Amino acid sequence: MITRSTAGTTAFQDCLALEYEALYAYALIGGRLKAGTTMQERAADSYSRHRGRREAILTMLDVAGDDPVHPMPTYPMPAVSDESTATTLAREIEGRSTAAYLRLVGVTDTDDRAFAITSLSQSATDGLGWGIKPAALPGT
Amino acid sequence: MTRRALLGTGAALVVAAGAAFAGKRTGRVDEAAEAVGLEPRRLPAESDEALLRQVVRDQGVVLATVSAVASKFPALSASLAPLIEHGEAHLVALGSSTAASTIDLDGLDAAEPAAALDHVASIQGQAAKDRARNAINAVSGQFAQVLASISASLTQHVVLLDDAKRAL
Repeated sequence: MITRSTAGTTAFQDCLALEYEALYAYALIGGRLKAGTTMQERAADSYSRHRGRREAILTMLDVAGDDPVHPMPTYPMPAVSDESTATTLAREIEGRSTAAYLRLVGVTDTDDRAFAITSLSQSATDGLGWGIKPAALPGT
Repeated sequence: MTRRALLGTGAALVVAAGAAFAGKRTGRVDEAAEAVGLEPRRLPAESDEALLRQVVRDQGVVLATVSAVASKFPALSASLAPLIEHGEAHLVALGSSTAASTIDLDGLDAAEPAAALDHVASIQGQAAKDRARNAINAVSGQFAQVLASISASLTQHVVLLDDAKRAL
């Protein structure tokens, strides 16, 4: 069993909670977009990456003997009716995700920090695909 | 002797961490801390100071390379402008403002802008990997955040350069 700081565990739980919410959001987005479109494929890719990170965090918490937070039955979401509203929601999710993983970087080390750094870059580049402007210091 | 650095959260964090390192070298740590409204704390390990110097050198070369390519290939200047802007911000976050001096672009044919974009993308991509590795090795969590955020920015640049190349 690995030992993780309280701050690190809390930050991981925050990221996990956000991943649950992201999966809920991308399921909503994917369901509202026309099948076979570039945007729906992008939503599917984003969903896949968030699912991968959710699984990774669950494993890391389990290895440390920590009980993971659980997903909520539903999440308050804006109305998603077209590509514009879908894009707005995706940008919001990726922006929050980038910030959450930057926080995780600061309270972890070694393998945990490596995961946080990779996740930060993934969110930052996924955000570009959804139209977030590139930044000098993503996550801040 | 107690050495001090800035610690903070949120938007002020990265700038504060960079200012802390700059301030330490010039004896202005406390003033820098007060300027951004943060509590000064102990400075990270000396290994972080050496790492900072190395990263400032590396990022100076990255910025100078983009600037040199933009000068040699005026048609690419609009595509490269955000990279230059971000490169300057990276150095500021690291407590510096000086790009490297001379960059040799003799190997780049002025008639081959795609090759120039490939060259820049290669340097940005390598720097992104290097900053990510540096972030893992940093002792200070705040310094790690600065490095990780720079790495993410450089990774975004590679995507932008790929888009620019496809638009040629």
